[in-house]
Amino acid sequence: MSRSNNNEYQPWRAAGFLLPAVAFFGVFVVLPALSALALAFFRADGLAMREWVGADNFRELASDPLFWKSIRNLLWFAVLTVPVQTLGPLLGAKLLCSLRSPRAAYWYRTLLVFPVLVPGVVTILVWQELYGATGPINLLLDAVGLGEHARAWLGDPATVVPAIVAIGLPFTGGVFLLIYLAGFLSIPASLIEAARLDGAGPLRLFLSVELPMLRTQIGVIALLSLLGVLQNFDNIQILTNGGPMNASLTPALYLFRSGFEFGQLGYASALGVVLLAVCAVLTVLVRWAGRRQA
Amino acid sequence: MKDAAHSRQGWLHVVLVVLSLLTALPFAIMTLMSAKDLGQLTLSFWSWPSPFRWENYWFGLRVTAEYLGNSLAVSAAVCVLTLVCAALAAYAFSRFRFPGKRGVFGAFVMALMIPSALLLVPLFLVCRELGLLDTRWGLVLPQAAGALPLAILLLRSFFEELPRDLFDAARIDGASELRVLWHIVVPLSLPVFSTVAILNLLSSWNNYIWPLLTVQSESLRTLPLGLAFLMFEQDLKFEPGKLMAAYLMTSLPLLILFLFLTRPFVKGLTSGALKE
Repeated sequence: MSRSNNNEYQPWRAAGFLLPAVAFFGVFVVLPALSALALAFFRADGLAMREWVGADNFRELASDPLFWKSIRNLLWFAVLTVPVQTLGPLLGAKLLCSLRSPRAAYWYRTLLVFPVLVPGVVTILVWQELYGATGPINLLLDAVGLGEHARAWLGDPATVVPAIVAIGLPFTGGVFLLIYLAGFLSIPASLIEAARLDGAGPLRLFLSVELPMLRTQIGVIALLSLLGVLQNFDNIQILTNGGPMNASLTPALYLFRSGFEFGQLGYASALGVVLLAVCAVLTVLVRWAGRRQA
Repeated sequence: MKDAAHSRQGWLHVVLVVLSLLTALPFAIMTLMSAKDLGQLTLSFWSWPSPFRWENYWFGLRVTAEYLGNSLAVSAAVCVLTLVCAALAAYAFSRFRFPGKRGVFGAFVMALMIPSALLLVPLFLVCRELGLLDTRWGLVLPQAAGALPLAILLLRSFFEELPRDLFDAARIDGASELRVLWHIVVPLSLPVFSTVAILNLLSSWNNYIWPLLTVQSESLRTLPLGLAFLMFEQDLKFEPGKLMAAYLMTSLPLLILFLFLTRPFVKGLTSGALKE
């Protein structure tokens, strides 16, 4: 709040301007957030039953094999997702920036970014069709003589997680690409010129000049990608609802199902509190690392 | 030297064409399937559709028209509500001093960290208490409230950069604060408003979980919800062509909008995600 000293002291006016936002925010964000924290210490089914149980929900969580399975699945998702989501768009941006024709760059960028505009549910449902028992992927495998590898990709515990991650193929586009592009554009041309004069080749230029200058973007995108993996579950809910045999169940989806399928609102909230703590710690850690580097 | 540079550009194009094709491939398959009936799909999946099943598209339009309308109404309402409330609040944060300013602002910033899954259960209970379940307002209000923190953050940082003299001059002329906001701040801030609007539209347009939880009546279903249920509802297990046609038709509105608004879209998406 750099200029706050010049601002007028107007508490009543300010209150009037803030009222609508604060009212909505209070009722639909703060109140639910606080009651989620409280609910974590109750056994509640959302109807009549609500009983104080102290930390029982958390204790139960710690010894719930399904919870630990969801954590293992989550790690598997994260290991597969975060590196490709962080580095894929970086590669895409580098390629676009190396093009000499701005027109070509514009068209490639449009092509790489357009899936952002397709409703997420459509992308998911189309892939569901692609993965079907008689879907195009299995047809293709059959056609090239690899028929024995055809399978129900989303119905096999061994392939379900990679199959869900692969929906992002080829991982070079999306909003992350746009962030990297803005990053490349903000590198001073003089810096690149100087490196060229010193005899740096394209690879050297990328590794020693551009990569260090994009540190912040890389950090932010890795964090956004990780938070996305932690929080998103609607794609998994639609595709498998956590199956087969809970092989794609993540903590966020487990929370959702505990609350709305099994009616254990307290247990779901305890899971949510753990999730919130993990998100907060990760965010603080990454910011701290970013600040130390800067 | 020159030849080497030339061939490097050539390779760049090759790689980018391959990446573009890979990106488009699922949607190309969707389009191919959408023009065929089951017989054509079973006998010759990859061949050019002949005859072309135009009726699939009519069917797709017919069964999704209501969902499209609902999504348009909900997204527009969320967007307007978010923009109005966030603009007022951001104006207060950037123009006035008042007790508790840091605390209130801090609360908005902290809310950005809350996983949405955590809020689902208690938000559901709140909406039940307020009688908002299975209503349009039950879709609009929580989504608008959830979008406020990011919107306020983006608008405030833009408002703070506006030249100060402008406001003082206007106020000396006797303009009220609301008039200053509407006649001076808003017209000067259109870029950031379009950023916020685009981010907001994309997220409410794609929201699947909240409507899934709160909507019972078929007549209130939004697009993502309607599409997810389409296969069972219309008994399309053995009509993938019709299903794909419906998906294709419902993807078009935003894509067409994008054709006209490429620049603001790209700028909006970038600055929205980059701001810390």
